[in-house]
Amino acid sequence: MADVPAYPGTPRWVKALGLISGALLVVFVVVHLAGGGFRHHAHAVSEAPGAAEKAGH
Amino acid sequence: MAMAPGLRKLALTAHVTSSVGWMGAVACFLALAVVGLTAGDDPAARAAYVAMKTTTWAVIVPLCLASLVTGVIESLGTPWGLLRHDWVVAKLVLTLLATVVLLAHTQPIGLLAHAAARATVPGDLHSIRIQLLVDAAAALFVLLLATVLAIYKPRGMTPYGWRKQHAPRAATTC
Repeated sequence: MADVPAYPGTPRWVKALGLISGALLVVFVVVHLAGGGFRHHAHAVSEAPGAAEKAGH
Repeated sequence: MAMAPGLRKLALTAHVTSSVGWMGAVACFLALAVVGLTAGDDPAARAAYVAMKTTTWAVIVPLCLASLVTGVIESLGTPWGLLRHDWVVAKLVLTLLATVVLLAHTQPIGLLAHAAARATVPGDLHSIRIQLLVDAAAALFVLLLATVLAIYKPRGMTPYGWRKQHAPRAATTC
């Protein structure tokens, strides 16, 4: 029975793309943390039209 | 499961149309974000944020979901498969990331549009305005990468694809 040839490994372009994606993810998180963006995401819910009424204020 | 040639072309047309349309809509969104940020508190800035909300819900989100669904269908119905080739997996990961980030941003976009429609764009929302601009630029870059991958189809198989490709050959030769 013939063996399955050994896996040649991950191509270089995949590693490069992974690095670029990781860098983008870091930029995304830093921009959000620096600008308080995640906090604003939560505010978006409370400041949405009708949210105050729904919350009973 | 291989699709019939006619069905495959239909799926490919739907996928290309929705993907390219998504990229074009994000480019428009980026242009509106630039206007919104640079026009200060002008009516043009307020109009831009209202238009951004409409563009997001009426164009970007439907095209994003259509691109994701048609891409999965297209890959499963062709010999490329969904998890066999590196470029297909990379494109899927990029699309999923872009989709999650997009859906996470629908609330801040709605908040800005609501504030802009009422009277003025509050100063404390300045950070959100910058974030939308940066994220739209990043999204456009990611979609451009996905397009390049789809066109060039760089070589490389996943370990799963490698096993699948060589397993039948090994079985028939024994």
